Amino acid sequence: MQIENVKKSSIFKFLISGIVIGIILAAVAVGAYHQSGDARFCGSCHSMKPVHQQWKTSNHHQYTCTECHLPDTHIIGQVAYKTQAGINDLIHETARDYPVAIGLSDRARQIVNGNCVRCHASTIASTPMTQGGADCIKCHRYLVHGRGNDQGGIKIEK
Amino acid sequence: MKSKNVFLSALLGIALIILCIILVRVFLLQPSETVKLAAIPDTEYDPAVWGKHYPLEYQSYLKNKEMAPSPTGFGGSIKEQKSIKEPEILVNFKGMAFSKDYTEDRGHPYAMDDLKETKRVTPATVGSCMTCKTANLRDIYKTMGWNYAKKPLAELMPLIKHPIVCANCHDPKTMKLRVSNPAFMDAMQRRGIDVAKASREDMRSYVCGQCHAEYYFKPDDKRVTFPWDKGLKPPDMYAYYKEIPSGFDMDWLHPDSQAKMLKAQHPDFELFSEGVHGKSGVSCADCHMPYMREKGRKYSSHWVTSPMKHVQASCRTCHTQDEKWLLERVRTTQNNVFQLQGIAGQTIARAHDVIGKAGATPEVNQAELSKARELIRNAQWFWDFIAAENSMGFHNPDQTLNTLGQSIDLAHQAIATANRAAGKQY
Repeated sequence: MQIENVKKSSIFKFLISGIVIGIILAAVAVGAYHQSGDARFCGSCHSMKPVHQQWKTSNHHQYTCTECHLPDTHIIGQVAYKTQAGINDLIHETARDYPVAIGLSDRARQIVNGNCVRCHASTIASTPMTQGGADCIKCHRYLVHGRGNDQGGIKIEK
Repeated sequence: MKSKNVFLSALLGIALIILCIILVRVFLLQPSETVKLAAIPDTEYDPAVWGKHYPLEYQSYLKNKEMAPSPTGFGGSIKEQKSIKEPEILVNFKGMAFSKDYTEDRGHPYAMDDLKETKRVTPATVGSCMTCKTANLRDIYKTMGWNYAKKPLAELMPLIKHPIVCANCHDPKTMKLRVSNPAFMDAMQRRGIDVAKASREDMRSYVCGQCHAEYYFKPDDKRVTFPWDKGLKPPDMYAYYKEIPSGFDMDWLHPDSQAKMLKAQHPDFELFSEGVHGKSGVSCADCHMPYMREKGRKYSSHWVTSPMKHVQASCRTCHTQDEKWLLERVRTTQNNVFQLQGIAGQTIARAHDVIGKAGATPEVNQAELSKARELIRNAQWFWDFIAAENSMGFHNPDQTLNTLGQSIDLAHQAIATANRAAGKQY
């Protein structure tokens, strides 16, 4: 009798539907998070086409954009940075005020360097690079994005 | 309660509209990546007509009308006498037109205006002077060949309607790059380079190099000639001039030193080609006409000016340092060059005076005196090669400082030799 009453109560229905909506929302969020980390998604923006093309022919093309461009932190830090960077990208992609030569901000540079070390820590283990302030892309700046491998030029349509 | 609902649905509606705008602009209607080829006749030189079809390029071309100082303080596009900053110009070019009028150059649209305004042009000026000033050269050369060069400039003026415009560098049928100056094609042919077969990357420098180069007029037919047969460096060209090509032995006789002088003219292409950027395969257009974006659309800037006005677009395509750092590097190079250029120019000015006084000495040693004149001719060629060039040394910093260093030494040698000739110390 008591269980029947609970099942009928509006609080119970509210809780159940809340859980279901919660699961759906979480699934959508996780899906969107992964989908938006896909290189094809990044490259679908007009401003990102040249760098996407360069990445495709680089020797790091087995890694997606986010492997290098998201901070090497816990998920909360990554989501926070992704949200902030994503809003910034969305504003400028909509306004179309981005330049041709897109460079890294200081923070973005720090993140990329951190991700170099995430994989290549042993490479620099016995070098002064470990003593702090190391900037990998100061020298390896054309490793992924760089010269000569984009589809440059302005095409003339006849 | 009802007004709250209306408010909420209005908010939701606005949010939806914004979302739609974002989705459409970001994903559905991306900016075009191609340019539609327009049918422009081969003889159409009016840039406004071309501009109707290529508006972004035309808008940036119109910026060439801007008259402004350069961010580094050197060059710029304000028409003012160079002798204000470098008074040695008045001594070193004494006896020739550049001591009367030698201004900082303005943008391409002013080419014909400046030719009309300059005090260097007189009724005796020949047609070859308009070679690099107008797209109408194409028709004039087609009908007259090199005969136009000897004609009085005044006779050709009515045939000239436009300054340096789109047609100087573009073939309207394909919009591919082309060169119009026959003197450049001749010079390249003598160096074994067929301009017609040049790659797009090379053409991105050749279209500039066809005019931003050193030249002289052949004495007999006034044909514009580039002194490139022995190479593009200052000593190579000096060796070329030493052989008195086609009877050309001097631009003018300096009234003080009585030396047979050469006048250098903007050897931008030559200096750049031998420098680190040129040797690395960077073209003129890479820095002076970088890719820009306007509402997401990519276009080549046709505002041909100091790259220091758009460091982001020009330098940061390759260099990862920030704009302030890059500008400071260029400024440092240019300050160093300007300092040595001043020392060279002023030492040469003194040498003209000393050689002049030595020449007036009754029992002067003529052999030593002519040696001194040869030395000052060489010294001034080296100084002028850099002073007449438009980058204050940045196009090739190490060669520039080497050339100026040699110039200073040659000027001192000229002074010492003149004193020896006169048996005195002036």
